[in-house]
Amino acid sequence: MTAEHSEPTSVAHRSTRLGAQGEPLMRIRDLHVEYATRRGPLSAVDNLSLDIYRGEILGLVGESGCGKSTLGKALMRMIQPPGQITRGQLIFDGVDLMTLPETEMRKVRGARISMIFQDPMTSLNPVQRIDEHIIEAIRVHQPEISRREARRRAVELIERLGIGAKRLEDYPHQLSGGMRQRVMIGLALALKADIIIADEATTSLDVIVEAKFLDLLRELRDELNLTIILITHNIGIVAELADRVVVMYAGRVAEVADVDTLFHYPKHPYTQGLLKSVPNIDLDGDELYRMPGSPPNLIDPPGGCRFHPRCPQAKPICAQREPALAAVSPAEGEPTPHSEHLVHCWLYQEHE
Amino acid sequence: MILTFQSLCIGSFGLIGLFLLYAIAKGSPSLRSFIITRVLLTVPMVWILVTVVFLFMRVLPGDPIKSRMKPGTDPTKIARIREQLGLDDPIYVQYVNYLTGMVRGDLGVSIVGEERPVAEQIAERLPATIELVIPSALLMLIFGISSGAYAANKHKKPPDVVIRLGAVFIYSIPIFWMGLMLQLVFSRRLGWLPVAGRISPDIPLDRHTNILLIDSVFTDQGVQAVLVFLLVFVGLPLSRIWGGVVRRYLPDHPSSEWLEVWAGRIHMVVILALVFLISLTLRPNWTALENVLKHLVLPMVTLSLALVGVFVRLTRANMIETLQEDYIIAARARGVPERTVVYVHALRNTFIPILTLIGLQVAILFAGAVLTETTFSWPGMGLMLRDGIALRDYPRVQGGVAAFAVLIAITTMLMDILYAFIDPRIRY
Repeated sequence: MTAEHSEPTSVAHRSTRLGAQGEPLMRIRDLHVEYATRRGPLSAVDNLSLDIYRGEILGLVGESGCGKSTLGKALMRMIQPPGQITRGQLIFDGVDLMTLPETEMRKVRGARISMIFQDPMTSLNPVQRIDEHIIEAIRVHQPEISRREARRRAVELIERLGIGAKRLEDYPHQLSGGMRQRVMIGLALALKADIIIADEATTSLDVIVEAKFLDLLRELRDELNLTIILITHNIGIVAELADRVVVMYAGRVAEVADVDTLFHYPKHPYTQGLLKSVPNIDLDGDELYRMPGSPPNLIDPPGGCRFHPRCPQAKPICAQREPALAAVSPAEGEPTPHSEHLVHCWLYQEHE
Repeated sequence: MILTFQSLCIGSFGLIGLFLLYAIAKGSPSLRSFIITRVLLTVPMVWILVTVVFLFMRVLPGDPIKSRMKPGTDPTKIARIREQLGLDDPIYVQYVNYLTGMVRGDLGVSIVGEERPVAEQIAERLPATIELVIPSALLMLIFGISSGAYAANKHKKPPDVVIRLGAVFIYSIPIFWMGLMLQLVFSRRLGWLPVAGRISPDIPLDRHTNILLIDSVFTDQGVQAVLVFLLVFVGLPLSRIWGGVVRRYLPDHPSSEWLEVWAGRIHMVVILALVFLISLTLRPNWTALENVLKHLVLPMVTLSLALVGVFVRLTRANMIETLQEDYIIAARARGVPERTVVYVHALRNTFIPILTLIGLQVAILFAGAVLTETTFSWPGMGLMLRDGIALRDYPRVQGGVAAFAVLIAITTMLMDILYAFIDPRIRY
């Protein structure tokens, strides 16, 4: 089904997509997410600002515990206690989601912004049939659609995703992992959501199913002009699929750039380290780079730049003040990036 | 007489049979063989139970003859009675006689006190026990599951703490003591409710089923019985298959969607119409009904409170676990309203372990009924068994326990089969 899409999308294709950027679909401004712990608040996302554009696939990468998943959940206001969004704006399609009452927010979830979860094996209700899942997802938001019409849509949707309509009558445990993951996409697409957040959606799949899944995502994006936020720690997936990449470190954005610029000309020392730690078959004999230290304790994070204790290029200022997330221009001999290249690092900023 | 206890029994066995047939017809081949094995297995189960009871009664100290004779009675007289009753036979002969009595259906004849067939005594007493046990079980389930689910939803908040502690507190009270305290407060001090018994002796009531709730509602018992029969055996199945009939025979008819939408409503309309018809012909005996209900309250509350703690705690624990599941979070992320998430998605999954517990608790419910009946002089099987044990009336105890065994075996069997139905993952 996806044979013609299996080759990587060309750089030209990606750049036209990025060139067509208009108004951001979602603006995240000064977002703070904290978890209450016994030893005080843990700041999982700290003062994060980001724009997300329609039709792009945005890769969100970083080590475990850097706040990627928290950010994904925060976009839908799905942070469970003891977590809480303490401050910030989520301006989606002109409306600040943070100001919406819970009942209005519920109408956004699943209908405008939806999520594909980490584990397709456990994310479907074991006692609910597949068609009931989809019919429910549709009718929760559009009760005026009859069950029969909703079912017809479910058939269409599921066939579009390459599953026979007969499987709709099955229960989740009767489907394979790949099929379940496609059902999860179906659920996310049931109402033609604008933004789809895929949170580590391929972690539990084998590489072949994973490749199919990624092809399908790309295909659907091209067809429906979806915006996809791809949360993953798998750099390979991001390189393969994303248009733009956000690197997160300790709850903050370290670097934002289009995928080519980020992979070829990373600016932030953390990004550079991260890319060097990816296993690569071409690097024979060389030992894999291991970044010194480990991510900081976010209950009491280091002052200034949160990366400075591990940074090979740290300067005195780094421990004192937090740098801004500012645009950098390409160095000599580097091509112009396809989109704004933002770095959160003192190396590229003036200071006294 | 159409509506009698016998016809009720036949009716309920008929319903169970219908359910089994439906399950066998609808289920997969493996489910089918599971049901058949399960049904057949209840026979040796009951047999083992009655055998154990038989042996226990013989091992128990005390003697049925001595218990009813004055001390110092002539030993030859005792020996003669013993011979008459067959108590001097070897134990295997007694055992065979006992099994013969069971198969014959009269369960043997009492040897102490009223010397009547045990089956006759059970038929007299069982309605009272049923009248106590079924409402108690319903109250227990409704109260236990809803408060457990509510507590789970309010996990770690004050309502949760109150419900959790309350459940342990009630669970640790001995059942008879709770009965006595309720009697003391509500009957002696406040005088709101009668102390004991099923109905005041001065209230006239025809006892055609001896389930007094039914008797006082269906006083004129011919017409209503027919209508109830129609409702249960014709109305419900018919309205249930309506949607399927429409879909099958009018798949492309323009009105078929409309008809199907109405199928669900017609289902309700048929039921409501029948209920209305039945209620039109009812001539309830209000005084008797009120009196019966008042008598029922304390024993029912006692019995259900004694067992509710387990259900509260199990529901709560399972529900808390279920609410953490990925599919619950996923349902929320799809915009499913919180109430639906908790009380439909989560509760339906929580229900599976609860169902197994119901099967197991039926036995404890009957055991509790013995204590409750004793406390409230409720003339049911429990009281009969207690008297039988006190008098060492072997046939009576054996017969009573056998009746309980059959009831428990049937309920557990039904629960096991229902379990397979509710949880699609279970395949036998």
